[in-house]
Amino acid sequence: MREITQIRLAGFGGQGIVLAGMLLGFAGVREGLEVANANSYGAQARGSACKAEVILGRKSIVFPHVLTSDILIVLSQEAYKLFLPDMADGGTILFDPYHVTPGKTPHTFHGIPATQTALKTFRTPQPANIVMLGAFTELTGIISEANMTAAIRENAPPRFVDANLKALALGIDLAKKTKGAS
Amino acid sequence: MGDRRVKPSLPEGRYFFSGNEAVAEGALSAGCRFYGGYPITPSSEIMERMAARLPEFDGVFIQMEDEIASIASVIGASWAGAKAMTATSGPGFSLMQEGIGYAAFTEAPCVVVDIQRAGPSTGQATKVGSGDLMQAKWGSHGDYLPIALSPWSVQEMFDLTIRAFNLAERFRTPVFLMGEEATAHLRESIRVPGEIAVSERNRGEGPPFGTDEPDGVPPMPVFGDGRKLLVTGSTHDQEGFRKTDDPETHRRLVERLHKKILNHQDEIIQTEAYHLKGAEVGIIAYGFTARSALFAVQRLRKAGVAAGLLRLQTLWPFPYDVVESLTRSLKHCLTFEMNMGQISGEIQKVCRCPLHVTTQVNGTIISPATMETKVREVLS
Amino acid sequence: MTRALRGYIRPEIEHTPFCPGCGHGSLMGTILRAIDDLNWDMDEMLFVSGIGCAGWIPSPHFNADTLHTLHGRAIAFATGAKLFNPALKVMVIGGDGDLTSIGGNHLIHAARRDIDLTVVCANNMIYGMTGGQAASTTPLGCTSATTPAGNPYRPFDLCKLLEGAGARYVARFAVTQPVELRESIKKALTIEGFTFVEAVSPCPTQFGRRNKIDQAADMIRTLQAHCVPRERATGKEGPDMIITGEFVGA
Ligand SMILES: Cc1ncc(C[n+]2csc(CCOP(=O)(O)OP(=O)(O)O)c2C)c(N)n1
Ligand code: SF4
Ligand SMILES: [Mg+2]
Repeated sequence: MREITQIRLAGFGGQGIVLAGMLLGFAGVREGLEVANANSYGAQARGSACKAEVILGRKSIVFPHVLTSDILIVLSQEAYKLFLPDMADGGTILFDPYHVTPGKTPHTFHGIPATQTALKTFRTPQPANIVMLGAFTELTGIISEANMTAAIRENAPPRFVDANLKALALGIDLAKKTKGAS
Repeated sequence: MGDRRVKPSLPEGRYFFSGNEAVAEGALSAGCRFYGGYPITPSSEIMERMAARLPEFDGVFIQMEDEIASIASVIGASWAGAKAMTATSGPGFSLMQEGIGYAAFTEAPCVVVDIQRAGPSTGQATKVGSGDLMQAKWGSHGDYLPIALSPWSVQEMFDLTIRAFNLAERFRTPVFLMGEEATAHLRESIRVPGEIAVSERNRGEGPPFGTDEPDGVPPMPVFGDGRKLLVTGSTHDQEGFRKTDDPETHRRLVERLHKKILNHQDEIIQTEAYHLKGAEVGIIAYGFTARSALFAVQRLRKAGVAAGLLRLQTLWPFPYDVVESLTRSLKHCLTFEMNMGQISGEIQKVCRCPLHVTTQVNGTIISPATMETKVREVLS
Repeated sequence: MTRALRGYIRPEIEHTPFCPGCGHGSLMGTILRAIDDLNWDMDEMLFVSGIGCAGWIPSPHFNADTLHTLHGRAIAFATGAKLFNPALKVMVIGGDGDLTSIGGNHLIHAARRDIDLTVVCANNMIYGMTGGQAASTTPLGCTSATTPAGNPYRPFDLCKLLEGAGARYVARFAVTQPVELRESIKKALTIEGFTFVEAVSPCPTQFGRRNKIDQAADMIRTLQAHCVPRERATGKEGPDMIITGEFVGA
């Protein structure tokens, strides 16, 4: 992992973007990293381009907002369009093909069918955010699965912990498959 | 500062907190046992955490009917012996001003957290601003000298809240923590130490409202101590008797309240210097804006520009001496503020080099790129 | 002040600041007699007041902890002190302008929360200290410095207001009924929870003068003539009559 990794999670309000960012932050702290996390707030968080920024550092984080994202986890076409210009060259984009059709840019793309998987397994798209976190865990290796699991156990709303842990596992599996394919 | 070592509100370790949560934990760690407040964005999470946590410490939480009542309840609790606080944002801070003057004049220690948002009036309730700094200085009528601190990180929302309580108890005065929405809602990893230093009120003998000793901070007994305290916001002598016609009593009291702050500026004022050695250009910043500034300065340094940063942790009393001596050695001084230049005006009073002021009042933070560009403009 | 009550007054106090004939002076004595009857230790008591002539009843006179606060805010200050140190027996004393006009919101909320305070409102139906302007208690039609053509608005019925807000004990007596008033204050002090006593107190200087009652003695006579004990009230009394008695918690 580099000294500072800038991550942006984005989608529309209600997809659990802010929660996913927070869980990632909690996991980062468990991992022993410095963490900064700034989220959409108020009306924005309910709107059509809700975002969570997470910076993970091996050293202290001077500026706590994302300037160029090394990793974009994206769950809506609008958010994809909005945040693509801020991507670092050679950055990684994890997108959900159910919502996002990416263009051709010099980034590494991973299509993770999070929404479809959530719908199939849970009959609701809600856990798609955690499926994406699972894929992130597997693909980047920045956070261990154990720390991500613990972050969910300790900080997700209690009644959703089991479903979220399952969603995390599904995301990890999906990522393993895309890795195999690429 | 602080004369007693205590365990903080949480076990030693690393935590992932929002700025507002960190304020609440800092307060509990410092010994805050009374919170009276009224909800307002973007400060409400402080109140909500205090509501949940204070009972675990046998403390008292109450949601009052408005901010006027909130500050009043805090002062009442302070005189009953509590380390007490309230938190609010601009509109509530406005409503508290009469009470703040009362706390200053009766020398009731208390902490008021203002999570600043874009004003005036209701303004942009969820957006950042830093426009309440002159209100912190001059908000209540009459002459008094407040103490105001400016945190730049979640860690400092914790640390400076503790410091605010220590200063309040040490100097028997209201202390403001001038937070900003951007830091209040930011989450960061922070470290809670195994022990912190806290200051405790001097409840000793002697007249509770003044001595002519240079320290100027009289002991403060509390209600129930059997001292038959006489507390009034009218001009009072050293025992608390109203003296509303005596010019000398008024002069002595107002001057002592000034001196007790001015004579201890070394103890109160804190600033931080970054890359200022050999700097030609210096940015002076505080609060969240100083985060952008440090980032910009580091990039400029990498690019060979001799830039540095002076960060103000204490805004009131204002560090005039630090600013004056720094600006003697600079070719240019730049300020960036999320208001129309409130602190720049203070800097201007003592600045010994050209001062370049950038203000931004659009409810967003000032980016490092904006600062880099300005520095380069000034140098070209 | 009679010798019996001297111990309740700070030794430094030589005289009270009230105008001759002011009801606040006799209310002050009545409050102290009530405390004396109860044999309460003044070192366990805290007296909180706001700004106004009535705010001076306890401060600086009472030989106990006293907190003389801001105009209107005494109850909010008292709430903080009482909640933090429940061992304190807290009494709030204030004027009608202070407690029910500018401070009305704190009054009803403290009653709603049932904070263990006893509030004594010295109601002279006027802002005495500032020169006789209208209060929320000034009767309809009365002349004041700010209602030269007569007050166009109705006054609060404070006892009804406090009953509605949930006070445990609510009573109204005039300072011209010292025995009833003293018993009422004793009851209010001993009942746990929020208790309220309205003490109708003449202000000859600011109210009397403007309403053509020139002599302090006439003020007392007029007040006496207008008080109707609740038990004798028919319900047909005009708005200028003052119904006295215990309304809640008798
Ligand atoms: C915030 C504020 N507004 C106005 C005043 C001026 N003021 C002082 S006393 C008073 C009215 C007092 O009337 P009341 O409470 O009825 O007491 P009384 O003098 O009649 O006993 C006013 C308006 C003040 N001190 N503070
Ligand atoms: S002005 Fe009225 S209320 Fe004030 S002291 Fe004189 S008579 Fe009493
Ligand atoms: Mg009055």
